[in-house]
Amino acid sequence: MNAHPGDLLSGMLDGELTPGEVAGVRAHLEACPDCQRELDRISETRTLVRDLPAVDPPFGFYERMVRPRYRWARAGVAALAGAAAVSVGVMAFAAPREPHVTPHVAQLVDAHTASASTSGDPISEMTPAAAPVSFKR
Amino acid sequence: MAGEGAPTWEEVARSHGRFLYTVAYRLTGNREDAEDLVQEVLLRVRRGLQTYQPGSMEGWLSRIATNAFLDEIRRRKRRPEDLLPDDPDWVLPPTAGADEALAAEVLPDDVHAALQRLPEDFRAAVVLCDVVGQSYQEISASLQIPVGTVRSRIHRGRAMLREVLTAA
Amino acid sequence: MRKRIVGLAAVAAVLIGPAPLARASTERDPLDEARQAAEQTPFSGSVTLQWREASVLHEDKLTVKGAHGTLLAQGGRSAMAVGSERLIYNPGNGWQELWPAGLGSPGRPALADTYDVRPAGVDRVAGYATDVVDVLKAGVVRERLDLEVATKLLLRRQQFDTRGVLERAFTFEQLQIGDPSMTAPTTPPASKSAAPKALSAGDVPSSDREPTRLAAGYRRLGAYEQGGVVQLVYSDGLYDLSLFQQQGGLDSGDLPAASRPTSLGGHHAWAFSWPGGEGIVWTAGRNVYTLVGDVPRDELTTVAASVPVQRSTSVAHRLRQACRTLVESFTGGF
Repeated sequence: MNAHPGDLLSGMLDGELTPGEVAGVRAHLEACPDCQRELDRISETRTLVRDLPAVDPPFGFYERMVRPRYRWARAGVAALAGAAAVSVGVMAFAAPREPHVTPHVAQLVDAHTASASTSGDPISEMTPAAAPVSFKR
Repeated sequence: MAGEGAPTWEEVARSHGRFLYTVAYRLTGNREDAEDLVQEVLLRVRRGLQTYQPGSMEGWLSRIATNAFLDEIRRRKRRPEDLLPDDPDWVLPPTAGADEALAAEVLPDDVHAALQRLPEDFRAAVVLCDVVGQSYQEISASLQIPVGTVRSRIHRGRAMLREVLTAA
Repeated sequence: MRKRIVGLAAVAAVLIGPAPLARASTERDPLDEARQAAEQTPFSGSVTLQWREASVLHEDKLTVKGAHGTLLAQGGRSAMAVGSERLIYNPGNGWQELWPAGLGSPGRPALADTYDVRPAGVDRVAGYATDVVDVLKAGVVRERLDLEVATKLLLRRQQFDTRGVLERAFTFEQLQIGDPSMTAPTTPPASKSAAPKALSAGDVPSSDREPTRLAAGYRRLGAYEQGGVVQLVYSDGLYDLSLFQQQGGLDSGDLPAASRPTSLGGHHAWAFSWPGGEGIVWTAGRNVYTLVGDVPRDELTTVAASVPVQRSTSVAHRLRQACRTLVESFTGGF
């Protein structure tokens, strides 16, 4: 009989062999129970991996994707990116096309405080504006 | 060019995030590294470091993910990876002895753990084939190795998985 | 200071229970009285601000003084009120006009429309005797005010959320209610660039996108425009909320540093706090919404959830758009 097919067994399971190669493997298997058992075992293992379920990302995953932390080293990537400094906080997937806006939160808060304090008690409503909070990253 | 209702990056990440996370989790074995790998993929995509190849979006993302994964593995190892010989002519001898059967119930967790026992190059090939569903040709392009090597790695990866699962 | 905090916590605990005093609701508006007092009474003192950020209670100390209709608060930066004009001083940026005098005030609906006002005894703050007034919404005390007995100047203000937990407090630690010879702080020249201007109802008609009413009794009072951003002002008689809408995608790199990712009706949102109140930013469709108010976090979330937003198009359509956008971004190479 011809040589044991070896990794051709996986090739056959994955549909990657030519019809000629498949015929050769089948011919071998008819005469070789060891390879037939091998095929069964490999097939069983292949099915186990193929049956692995999709994994749901943990809570907060999408928010973390938007504001990445980048723990992995950037050595290779930095070299490829060249001198261009890219803010790690910005993940504009279609950046060249989609207009992005920035809510300048500090300014919006100031605008709100100004208008609100004209209607109520100015001391208690205006004073907090003098205790600034850093909104910038 | 964003058309009416064009999604933000966040929305696209949502469409493929679960897929990417699954691939990353199977490659890295743990949730923290999986998140880092997905972030690395997004970074590479955004920087356009790999030109888009026509074909499936998930296939393209998987390719980036696997390469990012292997780059990180190589960076972490101080010595060149101690691989098993990659000789395509080397075949596994059919086991003539005891015919070990798998346990009656093999849980996905067991399979996941066994996958992590594989050397990374073998794990990558098996994940691309059986988790992502790429063809040998696509895997060959993703990993930049000949198709014969792809087949060999997948087959030996499966055999190693089998050994780990039966030994348990 | 620690004693003060413990005291406030004890007050908060009491408020959760049934009100001990007989209901004696009046039509008076203590904050209106306080505002008039602030415009007329010369005073000078130091103030402690307490404000909640998620589970942390922050404290800041500032000085405040006023006379003849001009007020000046100083801390990390300075804020000034001259009549209805509002000015802010940022170190390195000089004075800037936030609100021009001619704009007047958006006004507020009557406090009694939504709130009950109830006397709650007497106390002492910074050495002055005060009348204590509780302001209730739906039977829950939301604010406790200490008004100086003689002048009605607001010496302490405590804000509670719907569960009675202290959210924010403004308290005079040292105070001198002075004589009429106290001079008003000098009004500085301020840059008036990009000052807000009022929009008429015709500019911002009532529609699904610009509602006239939101949850929890908030009614729209006015609309203003500044630097291309429209600000809709809502009030329930006690608090004001400002709703800002901007068209486009969110550049999340500019979100507040300490913002907390959250979700609002299925949309990604980011919540943040500052000494004067709470804010929330969210995106829906192609718009970025920011809702800001001097209210507790739970109330802000309730109201934010009631803001009608543009519905996005179908998932399949967006996916096709995404693929097309992706292909067009990357073919042609980088």
